[in-house]
This record gives sequence, C-alpha cells and structure tokens, in this order.
Amino acid sequence: MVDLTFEIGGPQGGGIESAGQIALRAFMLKGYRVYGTREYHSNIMGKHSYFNIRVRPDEARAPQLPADIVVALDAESVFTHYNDVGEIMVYDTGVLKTKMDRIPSMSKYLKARVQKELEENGVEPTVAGVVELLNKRGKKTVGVPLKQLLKKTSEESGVPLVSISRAINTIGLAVGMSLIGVEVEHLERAISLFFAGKRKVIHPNIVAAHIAYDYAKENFSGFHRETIPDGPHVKPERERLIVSGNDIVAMGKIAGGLRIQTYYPITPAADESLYLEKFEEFPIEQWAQEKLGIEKGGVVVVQTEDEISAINMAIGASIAGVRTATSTSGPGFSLMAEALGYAGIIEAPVVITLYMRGGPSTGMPTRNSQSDLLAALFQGHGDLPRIVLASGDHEEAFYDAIKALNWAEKYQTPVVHLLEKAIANAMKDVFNPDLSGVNIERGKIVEEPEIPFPRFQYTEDGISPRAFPGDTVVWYTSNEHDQWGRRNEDPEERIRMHDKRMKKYEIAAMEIPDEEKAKLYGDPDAPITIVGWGAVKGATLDALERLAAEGIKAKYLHLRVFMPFPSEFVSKVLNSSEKVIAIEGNALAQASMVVRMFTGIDIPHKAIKYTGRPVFVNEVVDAVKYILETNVSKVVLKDGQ
Amino acid sequence: MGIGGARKCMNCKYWRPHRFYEGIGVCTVRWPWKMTFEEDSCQYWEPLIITNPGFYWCHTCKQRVGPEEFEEHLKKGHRLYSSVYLEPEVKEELYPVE
Repeated sequence: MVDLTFEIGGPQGGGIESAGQIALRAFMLKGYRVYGTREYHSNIMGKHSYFNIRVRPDEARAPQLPADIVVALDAESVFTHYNDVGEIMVYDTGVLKTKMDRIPSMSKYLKARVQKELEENGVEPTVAGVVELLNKRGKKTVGVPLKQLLKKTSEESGVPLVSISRAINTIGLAVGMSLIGVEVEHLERAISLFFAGKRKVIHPNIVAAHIAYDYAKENFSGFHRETIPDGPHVKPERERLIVSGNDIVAMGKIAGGLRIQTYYPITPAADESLYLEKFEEFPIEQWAQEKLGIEKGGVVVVQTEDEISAINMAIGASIAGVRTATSTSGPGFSLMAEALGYAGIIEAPVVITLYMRGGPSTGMPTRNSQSDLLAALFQGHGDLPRIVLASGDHEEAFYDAIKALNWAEKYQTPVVHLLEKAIANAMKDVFNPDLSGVNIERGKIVEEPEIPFPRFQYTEDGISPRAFPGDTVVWYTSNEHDQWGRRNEDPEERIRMHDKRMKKYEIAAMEIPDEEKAKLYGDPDAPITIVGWGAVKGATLDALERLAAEGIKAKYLHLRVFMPFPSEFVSKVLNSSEKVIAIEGNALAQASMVVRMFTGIDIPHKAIKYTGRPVFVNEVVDAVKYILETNVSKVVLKDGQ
Repeated sequence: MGIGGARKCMNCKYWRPHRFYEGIGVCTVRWPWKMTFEEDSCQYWEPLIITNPGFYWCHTCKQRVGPEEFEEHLKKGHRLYSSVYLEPEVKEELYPVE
C-alpha cells in the first residue's frame, strides 16, 4: 500500500507555502488522500519553515517520520532535516560548501546538537558533510543546481528571472515528485489549480516543472521509484476539498447559521475569521429567501480592539438574538475570563473557538499544544456551567462547530470548542460535508413575548425561554438576579436561581449522547486501551494498524466532550482494560487529570509531548511498545523540528 | 570599505541580494530591474564601497544593521549592501502571526 511522507523545507516567505500547497493538490489529483502539516516560526520572515505531507489511499490523518523524501531548498533545511530522511534527500548543489555556523537564522541549540552528531560521525559541519553522512547511512542524495535550472526556466519560458525567482521551489518540488514516482502531468494540473487566474505565473512554473523532471530523469534515473499507481480517488465519487482546520471550522459555522463572529487577531485562530470575512454576503436559495424574507445570507465579522471586547461584543449580539461566536487562542482566552463568567450568569449563548498553541503566556505562538484543556474547563470564577468539546480532526471540527452553536443556544451557556494548532494549520482533503443531518436548534425562543419579559423564568429543566430586545424589554446584569433579571441577593432566591443554572448542565449531560462525548475505536475486547483527544486521534488510529501488524492488540478511546463528561462510559472502558496508556500534547497530562476527577481512575501510563510539535504516528507506536516493555509511567515524545 | 574582489555582481554597488536564496539577486542599474547571479558581471559594474554610517543589509547575518553596528559587521568580513531584494509577492507566502 502506498503510504508516503514528502517533506519540503526552506526559508519562510521563500515559497514553501506554495510548494506544499501544489504538492498536496498533485497527490490528490493522483487519487490519494493527503494530510499536510505546516511548521513555521513566529518571527514571520526568513526563518526556517516546512511542510510534512502524508499521502495514503485511505484517510491520511497525521504526520509521520521518517519522510520518504526530503526536499531541502536551502542549507538550513539540510541541517535541520537530515535525520528525517527515510530514503532520499534533494538539495541545492549551490549550497554544498555552506558551513552551518554561517547560517544566522538557525537556532544555536539545534546547531550544537547537529555539530555534535556530525563530529561523532567524522564529517564536516557543511552541507557536503551532511550529504556524506547520509550516503554513509545508505540514503540517496540528489544534488540539483537550482539556480542553473532557474536560469534555464527563464530562457525557455521567456519570462525574466526577476519575475520568477520563486520557481526555485517548483524546481525542487518537481525533482522530488519525479523521484517519488508522480507524473509531471499531475504536477502541471496542480500548478494550474493553485495559481488559477494567474496565467503569467502558471506558464513559467509549468516550464520549471518540466525542466526539473527532465533533469532528474537524465541525472538520477537509478534513484527513481517506479511510478506510483493511481490512488482510489483518481475519479472521485464525491467531491473533495483541501482545507485547513481554520477553514473548515469557518465552514461549519456558516452551515450552522452563524451571524456574528468577533475576534482580535491571534495565531493560530485568526485565519478562521479571515476566511469568514469572505462570506459577509453569500447567495441563498429561493425557498430560503422566501422563508427568511431576505435576499442574501451573510456573517458579520468584526475585528475588535482586543479579546475583552471580542467576547463582550459576541455576548451583546447573542442578547440581541443572533447566533454568535468568537475565536481566539490561549492569551486571548485568558483575557476573556471575566466575560466568560458574565455570559454564564446572564445565560448568554456564545461559542468560543479556542485554538491551542504552546504556552504559557505568549509561549510559542506558531507551535502546537493541548495545554488549554484545564483553562477551558475552569477559567473564570464562581460556579459556572459550560460545555467544553474538542475536535479530533477536520471532519469532526466541521460538525462540532455546528454542534457548539446548537448547544450554546439550546442550553443557553458558553460553549468552548477546543482545537489545536496541529488541526488549525494542517491541510487535509475532506469529502464535501454532508448537510442532510444538520439541524439548527435555537432552543426556547418566544416569538410574541410579554412586556416586560421574565428572561430568567424558573422552569423544570432550568432552561428559560428567550426573548429579544426590540420585541420586549429584558434586564441583564452581572449581579445575581431574579426571574426578571433584576439584582437580587435573597438567600433562598439565590439557591433557586443558582440551581436553575446548574440544572441546565444536568440536562445537557443527559441529552448529549455518550457516543458524541467519547468514541471507542478498534476491537472493544483489545486488552490495551490508548486514551487521547484532539489531533492525537489521527496518529493513534494509524498506530493501531501498525501495532496490530506486530501482534499488539490495542483500542483507542477518543475523548470529545469534557464537560459534561461521559464518566460512566469512560469508567466502563477503562475498568475492562488490562493496560491503559494516555497520549497527550501537554506536560500535565491534563485529560488524564480530568478522567481522574470524573471517574476516580488514575491512568498509570502516559506518553506526553510538549515540544510544540504534533504527535507523529511513529511516536505513538514506539511509545506504546516502550511502555509495554518497561512498564514506565511516563514517556516524553520529542520528534519533529 | 567594501567587499573587494573581482568585478562580479556580488561586489557591485547596483546589486541587491535576494532575501531568501543564496547566489541570486537583482541588478538595479537599469529599470526594469534584472535578476542576476552573484558571479555575473557586466559593463556597468561599479565597486560596492560602504563608508558612511547608515542602515545597511547584512547578508551574512540576514538582518538590517544600523549606523552604530555597520562597521563592526564590515570588520568581521560580513557582506553589506544598501538594501535587499524582496519579491512583491512575498506576502502570499507568509503566515500571519500575532
């Protein structure tokens, strides 16, 4: 079975993004599923960035190492990724003599580690030294004169060099695609698709691709893999999209009837709002026009002056009666703490999409983590019922975005939707989402309310009907209040009102089925249970296949909703397991702490990662095997640059 | 002070190195600017001489240096230019980071 990893690295801003995007499309056109992980620095320009692209006939859902091929477009990429090389490294012959200590953008800590390893292997700390080491290791090294091929591209395309210097990336990419066995026609189509509408860019890039293919064929024919067969999706029955996690959350929100999104720009959340801005107006079908009495649909997207304003504006819009959400990451969520409590006490339905990055504080803005789970659960003071759910992949993220909007309005409570940078920035092909099962549930709304209106009316299920300013008069205060929303500190009424708010949480716990809160993958009778959440899902599901091939029977318990927590279901699964291993992208093993809090079960073995990089498939396999061999309680995962 | 050496683009006062890729840059002697390789040469070549305090691009350190720092970089043999070439489309390749 084809299971490829294609890695391409170079200077941030130098065309790596385009190269990665083109590669993803080329593999899709070849009929494969793809998953592209992007790594980049927070200093924006010049530092090292790379794309790790996983290619499979079935769903590609996580990065893995080693990479079958590494295309290093500059010297720094050679030094940074030579240990990622599984079979082939493509490099620029123009940088062969480059010494590692003359690369200012490279981290001194990485330099020190690489220097040590190169010295131990008796090679010079130059690109040539690394090439020598790779050859000693039996890897194939392919030197490409990128600049000469760029010049040839200019001559053959008739386009001045100054206009096409970024075609260097296409040349490097094309040599890699050629060696891995993808026909140039697929790359051509991918270039045309990615640069659609930019004819002046398409032509020289296609010329560059052909020149690179010819060069690879003439000079490295012995290194060529056989052409990989067409994948099963070469003539897809269903339309596929290539989307980032940010994109698909935005799509989910639109499908879920979002009307106002507020945000303050922050990595890795901002792209979601930028995507939504493209849909401030969109056409709707005739029946919808007639039913709603409007000609167009739309989402109002407001960039506020900070995150405090963002959530308060979202709360205001929610009071006014429209579906609202805000989107942020750790530092922004910290600023939202007080307003989160306000949303809780006034029972305002608001969705907070929380993208997790490396913390605490500013931390590592462009790097991955799962370290905001406890913050999502406990941020804010007072007894505050809320719903917290986490998506494990792009498909889950789409439907979760809709669910979050529904739950917020149904239970009139803040909903925190957690995603990791590993999902937000990863490009994945997904089938066009099926909307047939999607319902917009707005909860209890009174069309013709009395004036004034008892907004916090006591009801059996704790959920009071909503009515909106304009239709009636309602009072909202951050103080404790009575049914009318008027300030009230009477002890008996306090108990009644507080219990009313808590009752909603009990109702949500009962009504949201366990299968939406947690899911078990694999053989339910397998003696080993791996517990995880978020993007750990993809790496672990792939790892289960590999472990099974080695005779290790394991299943995966994927946690989705942390509040209300599926205590009984999780207890049942864990109590019937011989061995339980948690895999998490944070240092505290936060989900394991939550499991213990709600079930009393202490997960004895944990594989944790807090380097800021995603969990790789190979790491899960190795960690599980290591824990089974040694019975250690903790393994720290470190793969990826 | 200057880089010295042969009459190559890399030592010419009209040449600006590419921000990201080694060995290429733009010649600014005539409009439209032309991309050349650092080993290229032409009849318009003039020596790159840097003496006056000011802001320069240090191609060795890949950063802009100020009037107080430029001499230090020259003493270390770093490659200084009056500016660096950045493609207009570079924004398409950058990730917004906040």
